[in-house]
Amino acid sequence: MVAWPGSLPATPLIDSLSIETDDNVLRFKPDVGAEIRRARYTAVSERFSFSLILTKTELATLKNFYKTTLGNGVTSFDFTDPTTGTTATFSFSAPYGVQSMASPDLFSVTITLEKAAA
Amino acid sequence: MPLPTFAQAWLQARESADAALIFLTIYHPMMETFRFVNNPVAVVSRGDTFAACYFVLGILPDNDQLPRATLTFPNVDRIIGIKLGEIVGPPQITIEVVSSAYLNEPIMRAARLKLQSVDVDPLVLTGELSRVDDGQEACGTIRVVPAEFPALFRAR
Repeated sequence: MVAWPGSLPATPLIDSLSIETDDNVLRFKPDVGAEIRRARYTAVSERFSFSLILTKTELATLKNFYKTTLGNGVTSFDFTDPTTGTTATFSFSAPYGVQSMASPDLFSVTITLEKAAA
Repeated sequence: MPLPTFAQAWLQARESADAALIFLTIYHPMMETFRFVNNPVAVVSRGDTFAACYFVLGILPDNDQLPRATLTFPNVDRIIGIKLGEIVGPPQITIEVVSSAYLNEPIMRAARLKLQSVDVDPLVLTGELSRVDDGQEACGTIRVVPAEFPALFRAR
């Protein structure tokens, strides 16, 4: 499996990381009495949203990685989970977004990844 | 057949961290057997690996007709869609319900279902599951099809 390019930062910008976990609980709420709950699956996936500050060169690397290496974001890749520091399988769950910054050579890039269930 | 003790306790529990998994096995003598589980990760049961897959089983209607249910699953890698187009006769489907804590002991099993009226598009494969209607079989006739006489047909 391909890996996140080593020339790109892999640590989210401070205060930019947000993680959502799929709800794995099937719930039945009766009119009276306690809720009945069951696990839906044996594993769940997580979605990571964060921002990176990239230079023009790094942005070109990201574009090439997304478009060519990943086939426009279709295939999965190895990425370091920022919460655990371990390598896991991720994929883009949405195309990345780019916003300009005060400096003409810097860009704020929003990344949304899905960590494969394991 | 009575439910095993673990299954009774599991079904009656107010809360359980054990998931109800559905196994789907697609068999036909002219192709390899496909095994899927509606789970994000693959599981091993009775020595066979069931690949992770999101498929949808329709609820059986309660009417005077023969029980039929729709089966929908992704055709993303196209292999199954292509195989189903190549084979002669409907594939046999087995559906099992299994607790994730007891993967080798199915709680419910519906076997020898036929997948018919298959509709394949690039993303989704849809078919209709039904049992063989013995009442419609003509008396004294034997249909020599691969699913009934696998030894007469050789896999490609």
